[in-house]
Amino acid sequence: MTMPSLPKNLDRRPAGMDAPDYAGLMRSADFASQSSPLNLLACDPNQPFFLRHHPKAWRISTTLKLTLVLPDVTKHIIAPGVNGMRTRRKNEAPEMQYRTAVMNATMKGWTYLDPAALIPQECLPDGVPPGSYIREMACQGLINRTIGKHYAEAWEIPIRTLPDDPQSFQWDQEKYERWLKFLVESGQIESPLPGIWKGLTERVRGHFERAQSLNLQPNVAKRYLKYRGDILANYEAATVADWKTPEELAEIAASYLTASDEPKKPKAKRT
Amino acid sequence: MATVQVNPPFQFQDVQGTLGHAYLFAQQGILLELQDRLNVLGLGVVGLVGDVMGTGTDVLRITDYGNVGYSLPFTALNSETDTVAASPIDIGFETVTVGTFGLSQSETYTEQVLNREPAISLDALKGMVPMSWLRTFRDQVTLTGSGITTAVGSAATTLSVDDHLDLLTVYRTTLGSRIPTAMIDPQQFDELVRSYRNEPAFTNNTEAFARLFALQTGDPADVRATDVTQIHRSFADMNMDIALTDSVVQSGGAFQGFSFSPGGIGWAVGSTLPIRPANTNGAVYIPAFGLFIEELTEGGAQTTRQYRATTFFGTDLASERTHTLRRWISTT
Repeated sequence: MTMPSLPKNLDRRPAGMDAPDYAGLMRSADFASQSSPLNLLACDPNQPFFLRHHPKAWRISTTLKLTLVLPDVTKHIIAPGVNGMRTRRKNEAPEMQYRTAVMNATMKGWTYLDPAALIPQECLPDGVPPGSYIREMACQGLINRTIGKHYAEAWEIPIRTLPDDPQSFQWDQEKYERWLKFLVESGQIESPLPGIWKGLTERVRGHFERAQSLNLQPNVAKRYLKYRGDILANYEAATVADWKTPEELAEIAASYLTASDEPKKPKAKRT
Repeated sequence: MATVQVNPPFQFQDVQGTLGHAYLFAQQGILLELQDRLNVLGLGVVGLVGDVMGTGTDVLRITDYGNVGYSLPFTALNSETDTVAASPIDIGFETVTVGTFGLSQSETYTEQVLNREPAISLDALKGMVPMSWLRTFRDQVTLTGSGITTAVGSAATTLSVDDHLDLLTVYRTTLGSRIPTAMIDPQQFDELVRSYRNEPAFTNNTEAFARLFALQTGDPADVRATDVTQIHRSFADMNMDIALTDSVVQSGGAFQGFSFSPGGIGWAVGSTLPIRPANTNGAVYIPAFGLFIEELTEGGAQTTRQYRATTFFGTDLASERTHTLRRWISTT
């Protein structure tokens, strides 16, 4: 796995503070790039990360038309001294910081998502430029005023914030769930084992049954039972994005490619 | 300086600009901002697993073994002449990798000459380095906890009593578990408290209601203590401590809170005793924290005093074969 890199033909200029929102500031992370002194967000610099998934971790969609079982993808933050990450020696390749940690985690069942892979545009929030799941924004720390880079997921959009307040972010759940669906559909993450999902559904059923047994005020009980009942109904109705045939996978991949991303045709040989 | 004519009657606002002060500093000194002060070491559940000083490596392995003792049943022999096959054992390990962290602040001699009292001196800041170490340690522990495999709660809903009960169920049904401690975001905790508000058991019992919702101090026995605690011992009498911190990681639109048995997150240190600085004046060794503070002359600026703190430690998860670990998640 390589560190994230940006396609050379991509426009990397930030959209500027006069944009309707700050989504245009989010460029794909290039860990070797320098921070711009312009458009600094008021938040602390942080560490880049991988997104990864463990076969035991699943969630349910809440915004998609069809209720789906989706992978619960989490960060593995590339911070030295944490979960196997190293402090590199001078001039050592960046991947040496995380190579062993990633290998150890992979042996425990984690699937790492390639930080260089482009996210399908329909899975990105409006205004967020093309790129991968990890985005970097120039920022200035709230406490020590350090100028650095704030790494965020592509769906974590900075929004207008009052002066002196820490930068607020808005999470685009719908586009995120579309991407999680894409991960399963495209075969990057395997579907859950039936037993795991059954266990999660039983847990939610327990919540509903406890709600039924509570001696709540009638008006509260009605609302609360509906809330718990709806969640249970969603879990029971949830389906898994099916495996696709290789032909279907190719078709899906092709549908997500934009014109600029299309693979180049081989040049005709001179004879 | 120009002379100012003050006409009768002499008014304070006329005189202040020439003879008075715009403001006076209060004698009480300088106050410290409100901040997250959770001392994870004070929880007593993140275990020190070793020191890599002088070992030739920055990686510490913690071995574990299984399929022995309480795990291993005798085989029933069906006949007097049956043989007993020798049983295997399982062995495994986890690792803690020690990283390097730095912190530095500086001041000029001019600042030292002209500064008034009470002042923020470099010495005072240097004295706060151990607190900065505790903050860094807390951040590392929460980053580590966010790497736990399985989760209780939901990325789409707020934290509720049901999630609390589910978490307790995990420890109740995973036999051999020890009493856990949780670290969650204050927002998660507030959602949990609000969820308890709807529990009839609490709404119909004034004493229980007050015990749950009252602000609590760090030391309930100290009537003078006024700091609102960040550590809720046995919250809701459920015999699980809950610690609150802003350091909890957010990922996938969810707070990545977590719980772990004592020792479920471990840390390793690189003792700083072997460090031989060029200038020993002002050097401070805190080897137990892997911390070393030294004084430098900043670059070519001879009129600047600087301290630099360096620390060597790492944190990691224990094996889920030996400890019960769960992320405790809820929507942001």
